Amino acid sequence: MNIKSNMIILWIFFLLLNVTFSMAQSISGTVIDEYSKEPIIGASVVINGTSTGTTTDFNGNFKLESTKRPVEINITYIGYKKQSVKIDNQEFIQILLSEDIKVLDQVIVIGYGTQKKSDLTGAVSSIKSDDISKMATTNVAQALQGKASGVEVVQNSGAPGASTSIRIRGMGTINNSDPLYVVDGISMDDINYLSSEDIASIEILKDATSAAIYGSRAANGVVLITTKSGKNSKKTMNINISTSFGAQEVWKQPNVMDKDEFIYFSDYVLNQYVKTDIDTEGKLFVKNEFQGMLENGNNWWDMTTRTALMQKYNLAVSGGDKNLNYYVSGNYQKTEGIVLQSGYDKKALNAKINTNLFPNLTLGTAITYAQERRQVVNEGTWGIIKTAINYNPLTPLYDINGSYTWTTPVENLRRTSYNAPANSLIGQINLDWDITKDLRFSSRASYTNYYSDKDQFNIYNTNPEIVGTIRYDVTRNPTTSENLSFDNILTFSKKLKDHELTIMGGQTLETSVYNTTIASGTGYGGYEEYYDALNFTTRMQNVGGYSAGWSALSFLGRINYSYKNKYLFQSNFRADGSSRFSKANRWGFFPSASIGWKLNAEPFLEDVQAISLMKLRAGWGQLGNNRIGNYAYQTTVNSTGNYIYGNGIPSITPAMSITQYGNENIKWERTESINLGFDLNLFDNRFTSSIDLFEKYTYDMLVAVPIVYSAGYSSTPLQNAGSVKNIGFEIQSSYRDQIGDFKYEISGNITRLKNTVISLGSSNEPIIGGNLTGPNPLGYVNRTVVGVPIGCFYGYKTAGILTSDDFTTEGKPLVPVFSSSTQFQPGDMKFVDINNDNKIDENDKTFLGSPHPDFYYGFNLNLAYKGFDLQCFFQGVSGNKIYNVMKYFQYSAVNYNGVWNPSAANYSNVAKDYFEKVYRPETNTNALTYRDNWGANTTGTVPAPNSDASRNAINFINSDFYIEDGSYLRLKNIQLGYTFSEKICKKIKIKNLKIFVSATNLLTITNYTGLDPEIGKKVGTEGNNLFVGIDEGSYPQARTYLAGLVIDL
Amino acid sequence: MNKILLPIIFSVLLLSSCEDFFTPVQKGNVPEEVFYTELNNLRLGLNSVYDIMQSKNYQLSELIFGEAISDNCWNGEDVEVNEVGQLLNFQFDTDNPYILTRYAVNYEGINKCNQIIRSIPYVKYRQNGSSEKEIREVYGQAKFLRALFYFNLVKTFGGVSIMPEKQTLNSLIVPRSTLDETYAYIEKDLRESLQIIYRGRYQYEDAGQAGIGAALGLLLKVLVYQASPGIKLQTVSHDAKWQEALEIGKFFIEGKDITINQLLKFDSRYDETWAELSKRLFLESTTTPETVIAGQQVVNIHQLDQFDRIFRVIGEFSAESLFEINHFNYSAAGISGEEGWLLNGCITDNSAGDVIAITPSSDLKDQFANDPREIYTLSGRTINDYFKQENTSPSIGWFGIGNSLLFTKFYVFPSEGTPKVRNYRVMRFAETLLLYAETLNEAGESRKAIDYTNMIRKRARKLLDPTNPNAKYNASVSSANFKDLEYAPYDIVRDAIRKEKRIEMAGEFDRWFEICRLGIVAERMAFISNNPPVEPSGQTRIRGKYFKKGVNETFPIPQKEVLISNGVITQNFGY
Repeated sequence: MNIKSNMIILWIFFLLLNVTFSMAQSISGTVIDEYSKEPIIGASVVINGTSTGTTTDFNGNFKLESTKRPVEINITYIGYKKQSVKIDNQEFIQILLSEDIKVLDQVIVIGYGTQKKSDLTGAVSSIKSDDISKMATTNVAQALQGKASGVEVVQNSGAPGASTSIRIRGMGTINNSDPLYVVDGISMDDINYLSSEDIASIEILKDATSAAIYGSRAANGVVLITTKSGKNSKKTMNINISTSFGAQEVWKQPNVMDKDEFIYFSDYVLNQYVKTDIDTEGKLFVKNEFQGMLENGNNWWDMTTRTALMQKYNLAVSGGDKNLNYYVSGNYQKTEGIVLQSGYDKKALNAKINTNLFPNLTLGTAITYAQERRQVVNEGTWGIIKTAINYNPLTPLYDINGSYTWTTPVENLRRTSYNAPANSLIGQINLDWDITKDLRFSSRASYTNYYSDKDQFNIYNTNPEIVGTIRYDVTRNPTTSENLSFDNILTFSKKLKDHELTIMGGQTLETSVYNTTIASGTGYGGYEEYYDALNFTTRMQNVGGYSAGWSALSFLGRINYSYKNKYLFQSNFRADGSSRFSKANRWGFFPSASIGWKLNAEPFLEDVQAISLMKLRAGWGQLGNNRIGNYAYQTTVNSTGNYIYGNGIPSITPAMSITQYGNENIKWERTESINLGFDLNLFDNRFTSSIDLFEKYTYDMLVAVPIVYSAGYSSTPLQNAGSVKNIGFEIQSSYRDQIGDFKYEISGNITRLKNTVISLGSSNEPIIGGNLTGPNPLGYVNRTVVGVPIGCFYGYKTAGILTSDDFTTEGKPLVPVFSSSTQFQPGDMKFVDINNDNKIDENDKTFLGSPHPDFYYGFNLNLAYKGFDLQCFFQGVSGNKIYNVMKYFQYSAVNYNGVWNPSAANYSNVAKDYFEKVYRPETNTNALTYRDNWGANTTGTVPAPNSDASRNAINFINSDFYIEDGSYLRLKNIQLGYTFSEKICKKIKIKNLKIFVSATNLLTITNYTGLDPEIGKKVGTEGNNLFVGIDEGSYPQARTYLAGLVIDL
Repeated sequence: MNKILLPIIFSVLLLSSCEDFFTPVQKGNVPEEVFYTELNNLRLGLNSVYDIMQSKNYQLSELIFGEAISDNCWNGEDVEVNEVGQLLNFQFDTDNPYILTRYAVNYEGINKCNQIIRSIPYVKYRQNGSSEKEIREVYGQAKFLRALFYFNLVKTFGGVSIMPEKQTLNSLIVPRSTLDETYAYIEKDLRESLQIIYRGRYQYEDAGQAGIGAALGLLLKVLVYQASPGIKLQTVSHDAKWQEALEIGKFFIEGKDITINQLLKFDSRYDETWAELSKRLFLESTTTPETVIAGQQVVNIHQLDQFDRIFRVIGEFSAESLFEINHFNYSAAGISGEEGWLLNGCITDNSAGDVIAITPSSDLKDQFANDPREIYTLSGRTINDYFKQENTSPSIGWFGIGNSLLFTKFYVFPSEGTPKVRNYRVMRFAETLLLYAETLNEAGESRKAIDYTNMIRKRARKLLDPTNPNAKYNASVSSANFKDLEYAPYDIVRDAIRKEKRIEMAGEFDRWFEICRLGIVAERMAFISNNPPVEPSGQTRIRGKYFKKGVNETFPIPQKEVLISNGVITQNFGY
């Protein structure tokens, strides 16, 4: 375009200059990025062998005086390959710098400041924006999965726009252990609104050494996100357009019978020929009168899932000149879910402008507005996924009247709608003032406004034909939260010979207000969505709502000192005052200190060329977690019901009493962590590696310690009573090089972690969790006790199936069984008598495994040749257990009686391999039963179906029958891209064009039998860690195919 | 440098108004110290105590421990191996959930009373007489209710932890008081309550709360319980308590004047000065220990009503009712909440799925031989004519007790509305009369005792009076056979009063504590063990068989409580 042609003219002009002024003694030139053709500001230009040098200005220009000719100049800039140019007589020279794949020493954001990566003394992971934008996710947090050591990312649900759990260096508490997000300096609990295209970099502060600057909110680590800005450069404008289209599909079919198998199964359970019979050749067939049932049957999974489309558009315009830069972007994305009626779309607009009011004073403003809309389907035991898998395949879609059969998953979806819109508005103003060369003052004020709603509409009647019987419920729950923050930071940095010192100090304050209203009601009317309004709900109207808030004031400081760039020291300090604590406990102090030693700078290693960096790091610090209720220290009164006075028609009067018994001594959860690190970079930084050993000890953990019943409270106050320890190590390594035009990079990370509960208060009362209710009666399946990880599965151990060998000829059991009036028989579950008391009872329950992985890892392979690039990204976990609740439905032949009634709603389909796995005794040749058609299976692992409910209840009690290995290795993303050559780009008058195709979740290697091995927290209970790794019918991850292009104009 | 100073000055300013900064928006929860300073809110607090008494947890616990477990009942759950069955058969663990509920629900009530009582000194009010009156009435009721909850506990568990009115999280665990200390605390609450509680009977739109009759009735009962020769009570000075009971009875029932000092026992039992006490209890300034309260003020507040009327809906809040919890069925109006009576399923409906279903034992039925109250109290498998008049047939056969009987005392006729409208009668005057009769007999006035007992019998005999339209349903009973008791020596009178009380109070959640108090529980349990009902199903009932004398008269402290308190709250003997 114009700019391009201008540059060519300019270049010719310079060449002419070269001729004209050949006698002059100065050299001038311009330094340009080879790829983007943008001028490079601040590149150092030094005459070889001298100390004479300069740096390039805002337009990338430099000027040097030199009497000597020819002369060699060296041009260096961070992140670019060093270049030496020999100058004979030229007066002007254009230098094209190419990015250096080997150099690593970038500047990274560390919270209220930046630091060179090689000077880090704490544990910080840095993730490139490229790695984020390559992932086809709806949420930036999801894209962090497998990218950094020590960071475990689990999607709580595969539904588009669903929440993600991030655990940095393990679960530090039984309560909320999500990290703090800081986006451009603003603290956030949620970053769903961000678009990955707008992100410049992500840094993760993992240890107390680095995170202590965020004090009371940093106990679970901090994720620092910096968004893109314009650049002060020559007056150019960059327009970046990217778009992608794709399709998502289910990558694994549920393990259930189809209708043909199921009709045999229904007779199998009864052990009678009812719907099927045996022909003369001994082959089973479906009786004629039941053929219709087969015809009307359905594959519910197929009918409730789909190939879902996704699309994404992004436009960014950026640019700037010496005194001003800007970045404006707009994004739109729409993702359908693989389950019908689920989806997510997002529209976002960003604008960022920075102006130099004076040469040393910069004013910046940034505004983001994002609108999200989630279409939600229910998950869990009553959810659509569970129903779609297990619903009776013989049920017809329509009943005899032609109406939809009421309880089918298809109808279930049809009669409910659940939308969750959310709007975010974030604005900030920055002021940066370079008071002197060494002293800088930054001030930042921000305002965020987050609005969300829950918009539900459920209809409860099968038959729209019958007037007045269609009932519907409407629920709305609008919520707003507003946040104001104001930070003032003063930074002093000075370099004196061998001493380099940076001191930062400042103050921040924050206030937040939260408002919520809930309104619901019931109405009677029609089936259409016109009725989806509270106006029509004349019955059972219910309203509620409240407001809450918090405020915090903090003072913070940091000292960085390095001597000879060899010995590094850093110390952070933060004092936080918060309204969440009573006056006596209001202030908390969070110190940290760390040291580093660059061994490669020592004389004994200086000469070892291969070593580019060898550094030892050690750090200690304390952090806090303030995620507790806003008023947990207060004893508060609320409505507790009504009482009525008066005879005849009495009047109802409200009752109020204490509903929250506060703990005025409540304090922050504290985490103390130690980090030991070793960095080794070799061969001009082509090989990089870090190893970190860490211990994270959380104490004063908030636990609802039971109080005596004589206190008379039904609520249990939180007390700072528990402690948890996480120890582990993490390794991160990469190697990259170039052979001719072929570039490659291999990188990977692995984390080993051990979580142990140390204490749970004075009585160490176990905390039971993972309560499974509803159609499955498994009860509490996990237990948090001292000495094991948080939320370990707890139940009976099984040892296969009782066979005839386990009984006397009279039928008396020879092995321990449940002490119950039930007569156990061969084919029932065999439980292990853990305490050897010759009977199975409550005391035989034991720990059955941990939901936390022993290891998690990710590795990445990048190849590039000429215009082509290929990325393969693998990610996995190892050693965790999953509690597969779906096995209850798939093997228990639940609701035996339902077999008689094909339309019975709540009896369920079973596993496809049921016949294979179920126990069958040796055939009694005298009396062949229906089941004998399948032959004996005495090594079966699934209890035989029986009509005795109490026996069945014991067979399928909470046990390791449901526990499965949750390890997996996944080809998370594979992407092939092609960047068109400059020549072609020029021809079509654009700067750059890239096209790509990619696939997400293309390959998953796992032994887990459920739909997807990635099981996070239960949707709706993300605020605590007591319901983890339990698959109640989770929305599975989709496999996504994507094609897209990126254009720079 | 101004630009640096500004934010610093700003921060300093902020710090100086720190408290405001650290007091964020809070709507929807009221801090306790704010809430209870408002006069109006005292009433809301009191409502929450009544809400506890209105709850199914509370009433079911009264039913199980007062009636179902006694010799008055056979229950569907006697033959179950579940936790109710284990309880009824004395084969329970110390972590039986029904024992825990009984313990917890009464302490919940105590806690809610304490919330009110500890706030009284901080309530803002206008000195206009009516504000003080409101404070006194709420305060008096809170004290009465707290006494009632402790009384429930002491009857069930023996001496229990007396919770301080003000607690901190670190001092929640309170060791158990002795039986005497617990009773003393209850008695003090009641005696103080008498000074301030409404001196009358709440009627019409005010009905549903406790007035002075409730406090006097309970005080008399508490005194009698201390005086009685119960197994655990032998250390108590019986005579003194009988004398105190007599004093209260004479005031309440006979209308004898009494001084404040007699009511409070101020001279002998208080360390406080009169001024302090007077301030604490919001007494009127003219009141002194010597102030005389005229018996006429209380003597006619309560009296006997018609027996066939008092359990009907029309008889709610009758003059006989000392204390009654209001229930009403609001479901038609779309108001949620448990305002309706919920024990119907346990008593008259006997619907499957409820926690327990009680039926009268044949032993109880036998007491009613030729008694006109029988048809209003219980009925056989074939419902009697009185209840049949509305063509109703409550189901009773489902748990297969051979001689199935049904408590009909609580039955609500379809014409009266849904069973949920039925009020829960906590105490009635007839019980007080019988307690007084017992007191008189113990105090050597057995003739007078017989006179008071005969008031109850005369009232029963009225059921046969031809002017009573319901008399026709009692055709099988003749008034000639149902006579007044005759004067007799002490022990015959004592037995007669006991029998009279068993009949009069049948099914009113009191029998178990009565037999414990009288020290006849072991003998009664042996009796039901030896006289099981006829079982068409051939099931064996083991009720009473495992009753351990000297142990099971009190129930164990819930095991969880012992654990959580690290053993500071000790377990009862034998558990």
